[in-house]
Amino acid sequence: MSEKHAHRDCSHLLAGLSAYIDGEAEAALCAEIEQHLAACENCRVVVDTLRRTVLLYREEQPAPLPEGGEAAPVQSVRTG
Amino acid sequence: MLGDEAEAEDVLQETFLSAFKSIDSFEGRASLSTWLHRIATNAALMRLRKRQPLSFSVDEVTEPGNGNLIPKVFYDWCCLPESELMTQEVRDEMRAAVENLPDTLRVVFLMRDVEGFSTQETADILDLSLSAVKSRLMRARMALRERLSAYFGGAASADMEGTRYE
Repeated sequence: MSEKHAHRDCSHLLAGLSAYIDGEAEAALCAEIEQHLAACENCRVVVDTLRRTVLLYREEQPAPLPEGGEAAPVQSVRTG
Repeated sequence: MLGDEAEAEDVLQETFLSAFKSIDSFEGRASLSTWLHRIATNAALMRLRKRQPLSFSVDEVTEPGNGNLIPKVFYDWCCLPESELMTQEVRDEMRAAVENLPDTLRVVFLMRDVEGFSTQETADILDLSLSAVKSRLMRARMALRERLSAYFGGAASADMEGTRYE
């Protein structure tokens, strides 16, 4: 695995990685990506960290509503 | 989506007011929640358009080449323990990374990966094609991965530096 690997050889696979981690890529593309991942350490890291990135955001609790945020729309409807 | 709490509150109010005014036009073809999200998203997008009119080019998804898709950081932070991944500092970095996305990518990412809408629902609410939603989601995810990888990689380097000079 060359440290200078610049993804020139595999850049055409990048566009499919998002669908791949969602399990929505077509079978032929999945096979091509998996074959490539077996030989390309950098791409494996990209796929793993891409998947982890999405999981982190999904696990993240939504921000709490601002104070008064729940009551404000109802009040404005009643008084407006 | 707006990155401004006060504006988000305004949009929330506008959404409920619009919904009350036009409840007769709700035909039940989509779920009530999808319908409300569509109203809210449209209200937020209107504000973003006023704020940054040039950021909503319809050519955005047809930009040539892969551009910012090309990864540059290959630090493998997948196996870091949860205790290091879910600190307040990491959450702040995650939030800043999303806020730094272009509006067109941020709205799709938030709807798909944070709000949990399907590709089809996101396309319906934003009035985009399925391929545009997929393309924007991919670009958003890759940009976020890049930034978080740089963040975790930098933190790891700093730890090593600290060890070295102790």
